[in-house]
Amino acid sequence: MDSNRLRRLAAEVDDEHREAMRTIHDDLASALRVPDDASANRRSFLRGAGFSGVVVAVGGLVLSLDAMVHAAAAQTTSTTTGDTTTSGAPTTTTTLPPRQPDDDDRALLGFVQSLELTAVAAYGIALDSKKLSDVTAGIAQIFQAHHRQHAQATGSLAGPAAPNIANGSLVAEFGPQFQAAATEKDLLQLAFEVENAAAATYAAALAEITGTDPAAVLASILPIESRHAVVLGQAIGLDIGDMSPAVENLTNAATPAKFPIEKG
Amino acid sequence: MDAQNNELRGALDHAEALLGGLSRRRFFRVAGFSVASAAVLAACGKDAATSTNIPQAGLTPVTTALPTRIIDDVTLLRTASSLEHNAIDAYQTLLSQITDAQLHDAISLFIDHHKAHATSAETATKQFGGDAFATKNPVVDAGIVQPALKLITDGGGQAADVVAFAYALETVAAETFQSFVPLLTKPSLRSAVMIVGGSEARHAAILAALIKDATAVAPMVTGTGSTTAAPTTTIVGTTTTLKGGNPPPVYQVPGIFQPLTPAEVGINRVTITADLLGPNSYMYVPASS
Repeated sequence: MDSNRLRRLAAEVDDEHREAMRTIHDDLASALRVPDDASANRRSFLRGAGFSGVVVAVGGLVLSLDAMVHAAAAQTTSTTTGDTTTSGAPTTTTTLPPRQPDDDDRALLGFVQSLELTAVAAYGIALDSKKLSDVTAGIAQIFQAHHRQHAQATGSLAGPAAPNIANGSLVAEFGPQFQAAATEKDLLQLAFEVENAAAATYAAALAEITGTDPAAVLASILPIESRHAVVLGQAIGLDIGDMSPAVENLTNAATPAKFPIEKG
Repeated sequence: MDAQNNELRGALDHAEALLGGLSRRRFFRVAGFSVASAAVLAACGKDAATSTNIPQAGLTPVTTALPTRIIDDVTLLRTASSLEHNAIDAYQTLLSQITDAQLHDAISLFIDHHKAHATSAETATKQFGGDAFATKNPVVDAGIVQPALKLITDGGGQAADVVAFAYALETVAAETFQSFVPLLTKPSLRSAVMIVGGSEARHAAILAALIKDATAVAPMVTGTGSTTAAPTTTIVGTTTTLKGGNPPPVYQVPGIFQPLTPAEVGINRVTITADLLGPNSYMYVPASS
């Protein structure tokens, strides 16, 4: 195990990410700024409040949170129950959870960002190994880029709580395994496990995040990690049952308690 | 003008309800003229005394106050289980027609998964004080499933058509559950729908790999403006122009984030559009009498 190499890789990810995040923080500062008096009760609901036009700029790809959060509300309004078809005005929920992340949400989003940056580092080790074929190297590059964008998105939502570094505990856990991988199949198997862990971590985080805006973003990322896992599973010839469980397995989830963010 | 807009919207909504899960865009492609005519006729009646439009003859229809519909956690859970039953029912209908062993195994596994998903949603519905919805969603059945099954049957039950339909259905499920997340009031429920949504996304990715000309990953545009070409799978077949236009490319991994867009696939040389569920196809709690 070359721990210095791991630390250098994690630092490279850190530098790369900081450069990419420089303008994103400025762009989002006003949109995500929390009022000084926002020590709202966690259970308080803000009907119609919040930033209805929050936009997350991720590496030049502008995502409208409204489009992601309110896609369902944009549907038509006729309803069908049994044999009766009616049409009417859009309906609303009677109580609404908060849209913005609170401090606990931001801390958890920061942890998720560190997980994504760890995935970026892991794919970096895989690519540097030169053990991947042209096809799988191409896939790994794209998946690495996805995780980089996921890190930018979660980091934006975490705001000042974003660590902007790979998770040192996870790097210590997975890094040596990636370094020691002897074959392409070994690397892809490890990447498969990383993607499963990422999907599970997002599912676990959704059970904790209270703001609906960050929840919507997490819900748009989780399926991508799941799909990553399938592509990798097929590449290594896994049985369909092994790459497609009935539900995402939460026991694979990484948590801040199990993997504290610490600088390598 | 507001009254005219409301009537136009009512006509469009009613028409779309009749067509079930068809997206508004596809509806316009299919029957845009009919909708426009209805809108013109609806607009004529109100301002007959002062408008230069052709006056409407006959009695003005009596309108009935519309029932209030609440989109709450129970409604969304009922909708979730209804969608699972659509998948179970459709796959069970198709299973006997599937001769390809790999596809048969996949669909059999997915049936088991959807049964587990349905049970989970029904249990959660009861836990939150609602009546579980334990049958297929009628809007989805009328608008997506039955038309697709007919196309498949008319085409001789080709494996490619079964795969395309199943991919569309799983995509609708995956995206619908994703769309529920910001609507659900409880974080625990958001997590619960997405551990299922992740499974549906995996189903879609597995099926996408079996679709002709599908690709593993959508290409990305790098910062320098160049495109990272995604590795392609080799699919043997001819290129056919489908009725309704050829559907867009299919990817196992559609991009950085899972979009909330309709699934478009070709079935029996016809392009169908399957939209994720919305307020017009939710399974609301029946109004108490």
